[in-house]
Amino acid sequence: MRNIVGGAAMTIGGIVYAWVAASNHDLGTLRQMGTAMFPVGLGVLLAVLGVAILLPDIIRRGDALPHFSFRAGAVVIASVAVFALTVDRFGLIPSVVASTVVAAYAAPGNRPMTVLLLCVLLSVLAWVVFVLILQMPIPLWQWRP
Amino acid sequence: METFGQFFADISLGFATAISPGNIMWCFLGVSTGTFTGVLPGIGPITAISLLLPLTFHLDPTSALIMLAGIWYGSTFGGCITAILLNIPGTPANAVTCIDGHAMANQGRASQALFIAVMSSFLGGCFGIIIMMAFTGSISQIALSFSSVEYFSLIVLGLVAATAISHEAALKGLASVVVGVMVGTVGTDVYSGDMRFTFGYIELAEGVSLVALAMGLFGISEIIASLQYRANRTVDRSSVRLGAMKLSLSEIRPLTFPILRASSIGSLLGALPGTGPAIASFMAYAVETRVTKDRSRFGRGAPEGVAAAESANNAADMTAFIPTLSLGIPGSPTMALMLGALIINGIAPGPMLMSNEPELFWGLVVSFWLGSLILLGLSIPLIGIWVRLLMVPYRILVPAIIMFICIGTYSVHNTSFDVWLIAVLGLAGYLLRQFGFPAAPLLLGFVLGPMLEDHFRRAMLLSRGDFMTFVESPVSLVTLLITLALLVWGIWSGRRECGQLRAAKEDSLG
Repeated sequence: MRNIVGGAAMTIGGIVYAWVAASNHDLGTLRQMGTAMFPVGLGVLLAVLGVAILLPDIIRRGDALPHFSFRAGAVVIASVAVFALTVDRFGLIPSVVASTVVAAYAAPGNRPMTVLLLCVLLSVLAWVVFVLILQMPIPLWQWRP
Repeated sequence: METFGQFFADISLGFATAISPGNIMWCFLGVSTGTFTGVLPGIGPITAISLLLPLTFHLDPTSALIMLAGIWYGSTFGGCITAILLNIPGTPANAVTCIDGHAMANQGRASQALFIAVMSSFLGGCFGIIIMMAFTGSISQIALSFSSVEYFSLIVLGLVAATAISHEAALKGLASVVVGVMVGTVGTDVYSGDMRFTFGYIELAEGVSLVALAMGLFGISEIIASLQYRANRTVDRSSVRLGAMKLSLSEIRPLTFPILRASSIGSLLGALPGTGPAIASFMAYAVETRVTKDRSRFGRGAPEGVAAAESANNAADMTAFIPTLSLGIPGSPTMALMLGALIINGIAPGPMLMSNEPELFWGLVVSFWLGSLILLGLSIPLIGIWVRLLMVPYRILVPAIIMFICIGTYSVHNTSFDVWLIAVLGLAGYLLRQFGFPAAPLLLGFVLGPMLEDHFRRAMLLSRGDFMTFVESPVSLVTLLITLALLVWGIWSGRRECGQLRAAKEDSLG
């Protein structure tokens, strides 16, 4: 099942990619290749590989669908997204604090005190490493919602 | 090979470049970070290099590469510590060291094992550096006569080799490579000026940021995967026993030949595309078990096992730079990152690198010596600290790592777009990984993709649309044949392995 989904994803992805490329750009000839030629080749190649990957699983039973940790995935992605949302609007420190608070819940077992300490520690660390030592032009805090 | 006079001049240049206070500091930072990430299982050199990649934009290319290289060979140095003490390889290259290294630790000979590992790593590294110094020039010379045809075939070989040898089915590795090349097509097409796959985002006009891709694929997806499988892994302090670090001459002498053999094997395999320190250490270990008189000692604490594994992987670390610096074609995804760092800093990789940027090359070589010495001197006293660091629970490390990833990536272009990219790519990377598609070949495909397309189009332009041009050149033909052989072997042995695994599963269930 795992390989069927994986292979199918590759095949579909390849076809879509090649399609988008060919619709938007010039294909050209082999002699004078257009912008779309290489991508189309890639798309076709991926589609073929996808079929090759999913075929054996149709004949024989393959591995089951993989397990996903929704919690870990969601928390980590959310932490990054929160950073992206806050950094331009509110500056470095608020974004570090925000993403740390979210990320602290990625693995179970962090108490509120730990989270607070982490926020402080990481804020200081971020300031020292990125602003003091590396002189990055990131405002520490600002208000531009 | 060069004359002595030229050689001496080059080395002097290297010393002048590498022994500047700034570069010494970067070297030190690199090897320390490398050792640290080597010791921490779950974070490998590729992640560390990705994390520090943004830093390199603020440095000149030589310093940047010195530091990144330090991370690279420092990590296999550090990885042997956890391999010996905890039976957990810090990096895949140290997996073989676990076998005899941990056995020695269980016999109370952990200090001796560590000493042998450190010493062998140093000697292996020195051997590799010498090979590098001797051959990079010659290979560059040969490569000067290459045209787009040969380059295209070599890049194809590099891409296929990296996947044929990778763990999971070769087909999935190939698919990853293709996806990587696809991601590489995003941006402005050099030939026509058209924007491909940018979906209206200006930030994508120059392509997906390498840093964002590396951080997303290796940082974020790695974190998610580690959380899933190793959420509360901590280390038991009492399981670490050191013992006396005394080794008599009679114990050291029998290690000479194993180290020499292993260093040679490591140097050779390190320079080949697709093979790296991990495979080098496996092969060197295997050779030692065949060459020795008493095979039963291996697996039960044979010092030769540790010596062979560690000298091979460090030799391979050094020679891994040869294809990158002489041909401009990286032999592995991590080398692709280094190449990416060079490109971003405006250095054109290829055979002209040695002649155009001698300070870079020779400064780098000398810094390898320097870094190896630093590692030799530092690793033993710092072992206690590294072990203590392993105690930090993962749930505390995660926010810190995420913070570094976010700020680091943001700082490259000062745009939150890149941070969003990490989120998207990280998620995609995690999904791919769960379905069995390896991430490293994707990165390789991404870095090499533009070059691949460039050489392909140019070759076709020159040959007026004739595909036979790739077969008419002898170098290209041989390269493509090797590629085909690797492809077939990769797919066939993958099938066989799957079959064996399935048979084993059925046996145990039935």
